[in-house]
Amino acid sequence: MKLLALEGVSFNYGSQLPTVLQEVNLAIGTGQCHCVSGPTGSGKSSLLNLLAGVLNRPHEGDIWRYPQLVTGLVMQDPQTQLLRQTVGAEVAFALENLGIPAEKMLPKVQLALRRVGLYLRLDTQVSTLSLGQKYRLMIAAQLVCEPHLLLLDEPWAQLDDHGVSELLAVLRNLIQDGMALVLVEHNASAFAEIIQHYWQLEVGKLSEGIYTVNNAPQVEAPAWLNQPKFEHLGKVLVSAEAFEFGFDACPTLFACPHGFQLQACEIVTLVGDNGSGKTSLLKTIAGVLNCRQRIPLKVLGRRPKLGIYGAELGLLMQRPSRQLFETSVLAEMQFSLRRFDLPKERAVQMLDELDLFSLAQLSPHKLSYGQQHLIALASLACLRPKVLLLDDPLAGMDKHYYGKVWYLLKRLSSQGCAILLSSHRSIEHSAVSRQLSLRNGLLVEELIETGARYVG
Amino acid sequence: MTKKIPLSLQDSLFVGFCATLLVALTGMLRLKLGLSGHSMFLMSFFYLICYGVLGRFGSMTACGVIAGIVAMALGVGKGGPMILLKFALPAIAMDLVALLLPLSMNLHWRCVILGIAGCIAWAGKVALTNVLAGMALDVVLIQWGLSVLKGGFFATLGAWLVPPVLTRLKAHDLLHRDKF
Repeated sequence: MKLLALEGVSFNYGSQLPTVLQEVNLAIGTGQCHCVSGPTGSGKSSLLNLLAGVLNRPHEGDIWRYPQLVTGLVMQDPQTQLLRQTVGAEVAFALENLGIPAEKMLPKVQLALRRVGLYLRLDTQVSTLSLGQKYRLMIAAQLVCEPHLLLLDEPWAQLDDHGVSELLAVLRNLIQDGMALVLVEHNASAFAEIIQHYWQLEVGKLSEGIYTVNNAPQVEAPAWLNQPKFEHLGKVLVSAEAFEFGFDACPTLFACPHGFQLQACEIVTLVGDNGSGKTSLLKTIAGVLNCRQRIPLKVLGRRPKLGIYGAELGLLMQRPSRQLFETSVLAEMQFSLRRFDLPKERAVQMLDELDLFSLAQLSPHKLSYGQQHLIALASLACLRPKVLLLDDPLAGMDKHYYGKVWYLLKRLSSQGCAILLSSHRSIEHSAVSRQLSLRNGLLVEELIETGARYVG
Repeated sequence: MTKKIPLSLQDSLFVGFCATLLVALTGMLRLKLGLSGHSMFLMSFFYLICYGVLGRFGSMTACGVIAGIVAMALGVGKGGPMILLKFALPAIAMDLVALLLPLSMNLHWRCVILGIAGCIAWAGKVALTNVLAGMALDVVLIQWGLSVLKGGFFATLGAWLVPPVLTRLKAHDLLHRDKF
């Protein structure tokens, strides 16, 4: 049975802006699973919003919906979709709005949480959940309305491997129950066993197939990569002795029995599952998070404290929109340069180098998740910090953008910057010096495996 | 793509929000500046925000009338039922003048002109109150002129703030208009 159909749909965000969707045709039936892939910023999320009916801008073409069609949308950034403070209230939110009696809500809420593998008390605070757990919570909040069509925006990037396998099992059951799914995903192979229809969205055109990068950026070895790094080598910029980490009045989250160091010119990865404490550790190093229990940690020779490092330390947050606030990309990149009295031309040079000058006058808030990540990273890179902390910077990026990020990181590294990069999957890249592993409550240095993995 | 967007619930709520916030701020701040006309600052700001966001005739009037009714019901300010005129008159004047202004004109200048137009109407309400109180006509005219000058200053200040706020709203994808 047909649930939704797009016929010749064209759409853009303004008459002077490029067309996001151009003559798009798509039909979705019950029990089908569609996957849309495409380059970063190609309009995949906009397509999902259009299918969900939350994009109320004028468009051309016809959108046909099955009468009483219920759609559920799980957006890429969990923070924009979570409204309530506790897990139970979040899942029950839609039911409350539909006027369902309270006694009927409880079993529905519990069932929805079980379906996504979240076995938590209903009064658990949403703020204590990891990003991956929040993602599953959002799916539960949609499933509670028993939608006919579920739309998921890049679930793979947000979830760890365990989370992905759990989600896969959930989605398989949903399809068997007759629910239709549309996934927007860079890494379609992770969901290959349930996907029936592959689509690629490029330059506004939707066609059958899987998007592959044909023109991967040829990163030539620039002069700076061959420069000797002797002046920086061996400088310890971040050092920690053995410690235990935990939030105030909470049990220990993880222990670091041997301490760790971060030296100049190093790119070190911090790998751990969702909720293992990666973000908290990065925030502690940056001085953003202060627990009562003192951690024997020194950053640039000082105990971490917010605001004391200026341009010497940069932190890229997991949610890039948290650190974007200007009205144009160029203004965004020049903001910190102006603040620290650094040459503003660096912003233009950076955009040129990354081949992103076409974005210069666009609003950073309207960019895709992956583009926002790259712009936020480029804004920090312009400052040429000594220590750079990156919280899952590769989320929402295709291989093309992935290459740009590594170009930037290698460049910073060659200038003496120590980079700590968190991810919930191991990252195989020649530029990575070491890997810190945060598993089973232990933070230890681990040998880098050589298995072929793609993260991005 | 060029078809006119119908008035949405979102737009209506926005007008109501602006009107309520205008009255709430006027009531809460109760600025004892001893300067006549400072109320035009908030009025011109909120009315012009409605003008910029909705971009349709009647948006400022709707905001002004709602604000007047809310203020009258809550007893904000002095003037009793005249408070309705205080809020509504400038809004109506600004809406009418907005019809005459070319859209090609720079938004900053349009906002300033509309703010001053609202101020003149607001001063008219002051003059009407003075006439009703039995003031001599020549004194009423002098008072009206002074009100226009003082109110015009604050109205211009409020109007200057509007374009940057609209730019920010547009940057955050909260405005769907291509041009103000």
